[in-house]
Amino acid sequence: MADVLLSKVRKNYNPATLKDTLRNINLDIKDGDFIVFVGPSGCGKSTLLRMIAGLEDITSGDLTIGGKRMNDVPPSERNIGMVFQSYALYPHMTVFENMAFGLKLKHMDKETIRQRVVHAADILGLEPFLERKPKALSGGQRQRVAIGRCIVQQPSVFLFDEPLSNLDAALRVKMRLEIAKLHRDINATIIYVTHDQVEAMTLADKICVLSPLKASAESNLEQFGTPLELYNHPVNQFVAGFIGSPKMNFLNGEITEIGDKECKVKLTSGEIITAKVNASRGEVGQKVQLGVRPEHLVAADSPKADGGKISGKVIVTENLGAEFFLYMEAPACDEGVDFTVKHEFAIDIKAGETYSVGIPASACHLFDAEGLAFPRTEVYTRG
Amino acid sequence: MPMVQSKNLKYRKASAHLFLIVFLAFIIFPLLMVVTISFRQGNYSVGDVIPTPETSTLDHWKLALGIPVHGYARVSGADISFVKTDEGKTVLYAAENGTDPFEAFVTAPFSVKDAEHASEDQRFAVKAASPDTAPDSANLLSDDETYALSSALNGKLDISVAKDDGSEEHYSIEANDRSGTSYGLYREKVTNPPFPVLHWLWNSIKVAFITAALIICLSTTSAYAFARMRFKGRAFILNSMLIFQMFPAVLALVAIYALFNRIGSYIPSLGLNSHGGLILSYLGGVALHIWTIKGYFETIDPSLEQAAAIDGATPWQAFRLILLPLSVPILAVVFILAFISTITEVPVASILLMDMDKLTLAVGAQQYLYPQNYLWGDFAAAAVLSGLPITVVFLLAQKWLVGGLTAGGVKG
Repeated sequence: MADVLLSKVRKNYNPATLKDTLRNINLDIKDGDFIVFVGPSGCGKSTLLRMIAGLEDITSGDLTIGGKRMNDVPPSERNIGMVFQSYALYPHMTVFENMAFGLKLKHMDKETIRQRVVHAADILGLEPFLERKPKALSGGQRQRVAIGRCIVQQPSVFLFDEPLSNLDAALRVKMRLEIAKLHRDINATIIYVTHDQVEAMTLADKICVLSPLKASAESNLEQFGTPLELYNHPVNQFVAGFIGSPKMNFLNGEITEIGDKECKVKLTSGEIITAKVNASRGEVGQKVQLGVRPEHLVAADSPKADGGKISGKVIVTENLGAEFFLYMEAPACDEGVDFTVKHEFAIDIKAGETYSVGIPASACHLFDAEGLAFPRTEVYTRG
Repeated sequence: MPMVQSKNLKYRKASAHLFLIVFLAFIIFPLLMVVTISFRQGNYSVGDVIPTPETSTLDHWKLALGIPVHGYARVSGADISFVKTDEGKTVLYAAENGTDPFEAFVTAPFSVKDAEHASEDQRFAVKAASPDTAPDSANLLSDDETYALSSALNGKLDISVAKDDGSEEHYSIEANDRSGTSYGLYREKVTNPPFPVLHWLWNSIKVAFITAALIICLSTTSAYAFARMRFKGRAFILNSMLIFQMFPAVLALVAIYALFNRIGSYIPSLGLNSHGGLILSYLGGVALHIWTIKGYFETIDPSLEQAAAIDGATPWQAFRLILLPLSVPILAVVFILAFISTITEVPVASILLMDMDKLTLAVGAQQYLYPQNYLWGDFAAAAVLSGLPITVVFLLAQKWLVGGLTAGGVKG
């Protein structure tokens, strides 16, 4: 078990151009943490993981695992285990041989190898399949063999590269729970890459949100924190938009009044919304974006709608039974972006009609023109 | 047939089948022809396509396999006549008729009945000696009787004549072919195999096997580099290999000769007239195999080797324990291709090899065909023999040619 520390890590695939893939990544991963790297395609999250594994070299910066600098140490000596997106099982070997391969290379004696493999198979429920070839296994079983291959090595850090993305939806939920259980049982440091934020929110002790690097940006590490920190206090508009499903709604406006614990924002469509946000670093007249999550919207006549209300033309409604989605055109939104409402109750409304929705003041996020968040003074709770 | 098809399509299918059958027959015909010639009496390239027992012989195969052939050659200078003795036995006189030098002899009396019952491989032995007197003309058989008796005795007698130097000559009364008509005295002739065909075959197998094995070693390692590593000049080397391969090796025969002449003056075992040199020259044909194997390697997910690297494997271990076992089908294909092309290669081998006992079969078999005398039958037997190792290697390798070995390793 070991800490993983990244400081000022940079990756550049093609040194001839100045286009970095990753820049200025600083992460302090504590022993036993379950860390999830999340971000849209092409943000370099897999690259970062492969750099920790040693499958990619580090252009600059330092990587230490368990207090030892690992930049120039080959993968096999970093004491890590990795589960690949494609599982990467050795097709010509049985499940047992797959798991024992690394131990055999280390010239362990046969009895120790057998014990370790059987132990891992026991944890993962793979015992009936030890003599099978990967070809004869289902997707979930292959996934578990890949995990078992890591466990037998008893690494200090487990690396998972989008391990569930090849499974169907039902199996994905099941394997997600099994991975969570595994983490509890073996209590190892786990670094997990995914683009699925449900996996990120449910599994992680801490989430690291990465964004595709912009040429001028200082870093593409957007935020590193617990799932609820990211949900409730996103540091910028990118994180706010990326965490949460459906996406947070953003409305354009300008600050009209700055109070002690709240401020008032006049939307481009004219409505004035009160937000429980400390906007003291801003100034009146500053262009801002007001963010509100679809699940925090309430009925226009609800007592909770103390922030104000907005209205727009309904485009589509979706009734899933347990929840109800409504997409509408709000003039304050950017062109082509729908304003999403999520209710726990159904509304009898048709496309084309006008609908008003209430915004609780404590549910509002406020971002300046650079996308940086103003600190919230209160966190909205439903129910 | 799972799909419903229109009538029109059925006709087209039938004609496609017909075309294929004709095409196959057309392709197989030359092979059948060569096999037939190798069993045909005499060294003729034309004759019956389907051999009959009367016109077939194993002589060409015996020569090819290094077994001396016992044949009988007609003694044109001899006249034969039969004389009945008083005991009811027969004596054969063979006299010189002047066209060809021949030493006359007379046999001991023998029983025609016993001789007629002799079998092909156990001929009826009769001793003979130089005649003291001429045959008694009174007891001489008439022409018709002689003819009938000759027919009856065809191939049944084994007349041994002791010579002054202690050796023995064997004669028989035979037809010049099995269904033949011309009877006379035939002298046994032993034909020794003119060429060491089996030795050539062994040379071919040895050279082809070593070449194919070395080509596998060279091409897998180079293909691995081209498939997995990124280095300067990679695309240039790959393309130029392909382009240079397009020039036939025949164009470079002079250069190859000069090159190996020079190499041989430093390392004789790799020079002219050595199998080492021949193998070395064949290794030059590795480019196409590199392309083939590289293509196959690129279909194997590199994450397998990365997983092996994390498991603690060195690059060599990842290559040998993971990549190679998965590539067995393509390695089998490349081995067979290299083996076949080496066995059948003539131009370079005919330039580099000189000694009779160093030749490969493909080169050596042509020794049968010299302008004065095309020994088609002997050549055909050697040619069929050279196909034998290819067939054996193919049958052995078929086990490894199964595809789909990588299935199931990756993805769900």
